[in-house]
Amino acid sequence: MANFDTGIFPTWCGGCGDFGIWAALKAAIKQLNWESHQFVIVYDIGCSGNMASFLRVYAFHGLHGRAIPAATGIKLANHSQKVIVIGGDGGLLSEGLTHFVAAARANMAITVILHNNQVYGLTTGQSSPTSLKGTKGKATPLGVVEQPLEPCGFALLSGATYVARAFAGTIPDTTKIFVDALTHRGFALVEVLQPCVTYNKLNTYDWFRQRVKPLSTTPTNVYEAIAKAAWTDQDIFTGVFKRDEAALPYHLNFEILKEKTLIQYQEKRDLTKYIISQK
Amino acid sequence: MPEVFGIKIAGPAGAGSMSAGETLVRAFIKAGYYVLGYPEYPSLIKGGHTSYLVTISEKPFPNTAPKVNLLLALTQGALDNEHKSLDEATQVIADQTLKTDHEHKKLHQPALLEVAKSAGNPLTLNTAMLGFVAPQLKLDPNLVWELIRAELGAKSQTLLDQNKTAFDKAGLLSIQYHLNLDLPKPNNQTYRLAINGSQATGLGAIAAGINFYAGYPMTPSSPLLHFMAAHQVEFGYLVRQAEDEISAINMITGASFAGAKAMTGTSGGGFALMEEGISLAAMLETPIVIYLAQRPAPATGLPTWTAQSDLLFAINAGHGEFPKIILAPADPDECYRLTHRAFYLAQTFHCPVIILSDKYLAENYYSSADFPALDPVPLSAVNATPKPEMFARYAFTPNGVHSRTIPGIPGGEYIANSDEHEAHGLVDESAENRTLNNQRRRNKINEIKNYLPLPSTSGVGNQAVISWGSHKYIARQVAEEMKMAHLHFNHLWPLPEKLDTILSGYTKLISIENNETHQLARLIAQETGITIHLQLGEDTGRPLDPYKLIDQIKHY
Repeated sequence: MANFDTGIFPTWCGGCGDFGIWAALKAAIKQLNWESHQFVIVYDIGCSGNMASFLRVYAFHGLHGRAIPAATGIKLANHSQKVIVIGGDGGLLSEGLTHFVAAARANMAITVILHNNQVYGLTTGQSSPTSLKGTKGKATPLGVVEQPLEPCGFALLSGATYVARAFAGTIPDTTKIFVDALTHRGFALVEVLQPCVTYNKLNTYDWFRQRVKPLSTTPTNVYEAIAKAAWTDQDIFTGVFKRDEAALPYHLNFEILKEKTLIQYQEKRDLTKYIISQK
Repeated sequence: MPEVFGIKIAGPAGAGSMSAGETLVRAFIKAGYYVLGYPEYPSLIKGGHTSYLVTISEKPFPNTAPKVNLLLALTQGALDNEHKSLDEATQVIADQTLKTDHEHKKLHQPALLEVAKSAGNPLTLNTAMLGFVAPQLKLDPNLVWELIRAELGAKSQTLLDQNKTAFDKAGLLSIQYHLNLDLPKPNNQTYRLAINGSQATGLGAIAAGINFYAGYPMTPSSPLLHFMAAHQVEFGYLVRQAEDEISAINMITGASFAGAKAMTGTSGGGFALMEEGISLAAMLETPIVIYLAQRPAPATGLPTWTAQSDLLFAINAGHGEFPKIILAPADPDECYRLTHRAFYLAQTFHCPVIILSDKYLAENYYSSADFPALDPVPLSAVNATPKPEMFARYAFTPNGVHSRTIPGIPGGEYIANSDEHEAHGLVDESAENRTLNNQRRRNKINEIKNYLPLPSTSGVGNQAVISWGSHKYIARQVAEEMKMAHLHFNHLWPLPEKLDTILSGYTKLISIENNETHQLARLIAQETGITIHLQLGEDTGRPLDPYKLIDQIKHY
């Protein structure tokens, strides 16, 4: 079995939800029997992205907010590779929101694991797009005025073909959802509720344990899914809100990608026909 | 017999002056002329004033004709707009219904609108104009019609019939007119290709073996995006219209990391958005090619006009200190070769390569020699031997370039890390590692410096005119007229090591560039300590006028 350890022990704060996600991801990849050269992980910038140093795989640790475009480029260049995006609510939903929507709309075949801790951790505690209204951050000491953005509902409205939520506090359940998401053939979002033990004193493990409940049945349509995905004061459902395997992944819409990957096109190209047409 | 002859066709956007202009360019090349087709148009879809200046010449690479010898005015607005640029000798063709306050002895007013209407479609007025003018320009009407037909493409048969009727009727009308135009001698045997800078750039990328192009629409880079998109199925690569320029550059960097030869294209504003991505590609040492078609700025500026005002911007693009390469082609042949070369340089030095074009080069049509067949640029990826540790992608090498692997190669795993990293890509913030990587990046810059060529030289003399990019032939005309040497730069960064030796061989240096602050002159001063004695140029949105430059030098 492949060993995915780099030998570097994570630098996350003790008790950080990222440990649970890291463990679940490794377990899922092992369960799927993937070799370390058969997939790429694209990391956004933030605490979640620091996972780059803790997994011995082909990795792209790019710019804050821009993991999804890089993942898109990798997938289109060589669609035989599985492509996973690791990012946070800050990078993926604030600077990267346009890319998030574009990839979901396109049904780009990438798996986005969104570490949602509702705070900017690595930059020491500013509010994020998913911070609850009223949250006081270092840059919003008077409290957040905005409504929080709901990643699952937003993804569903953007046409994502796979949308799920997991809780970093329950590694076996998270592993199960990762395995499911990683075998989806189109765009997949897994929002992982990831308590930040240092900068988010509200949405703690205990706070989540009181609210997190497994979804009992898969919603039958997108509006039901959006309704089920919405956080309420009492319930935050985990599980799969939508899985549509019929939808064609982006790259399969192109004839030239049906036989070969893009990077397999290496032949010399004859421009004569075009040149003659311009004479 | 004049050396050059200028024909301008003008009308509101949507009236077909652009397509008529391009048709004339192709017709004149077929007829054996050297040609330059220069469009001017405002940033709108319908209305306004657009014009297309076709310059025909006895010599290769003419600049825009100093005056319009023949004006083809499609509407009253066009006639009014162009009147100020006419002189006594200009012949004018305008419909009989158009009016002018000016006494103009050489105004010809055939009933072209009537012809278009009787053909069943007043929008065939531009075709009627071509039908009328073709015999006057000694162009074979059959040839011109074939070009119009090709331009109309597979549109409806009715439309084709209407255009053909208008074309033929206007041709009959033309028999009664004798403009006796004094045309240059057609003697072009070799430059038989009608092509613009955008198409040539695209062909260079295709020849280089491009796999992936991502871009966001922006004038004047959009023609390349369209060209690449139009030919992707035929040549087997993929084009993605990205959600923004930031996405485009990150997509191509991801694609290149995965083994694709990848490119993006944009103009100034979009390039500004890409800067962080340029810095990223440099840090990851991922080969990417960026096409930057300049237009006048700041901000939205003059969207559909031309300038060379982003040279220093491109050179300094991206935060931090890192290797990058800047090329600036002068004509379609150079667009083709240098774009191919950009891919080669990117794969060789694992760094971003920027191709600097501008609206003038991107949208002008030129008579060009055939492009040579070129082999695809080989992908710079190697196989690896699996080891317990990751692949040492960023291990120290004397020239700063280490071999790379791509996903899928067992044992080639590494982290393309935007954080400063050690050999395998793992984060390393130590001063020792930072110093080592700075050394690697500096070594790479020096390696590139030694590799890139000196400016090309033509003419002799101890005084020299200096230019770069699209303004080569404008500067060449000035140099020839002034009997000076001409140094032209198509490799702009990093400037080669021995440049100071070359430049100090001249007693007087005159820079010519299409910007306000003489950016190449400043760059040369910065890199060599040599001051350019006379720094000429301006940014009016139009290409520089060689006659004005000659005048400025004479009065210096």
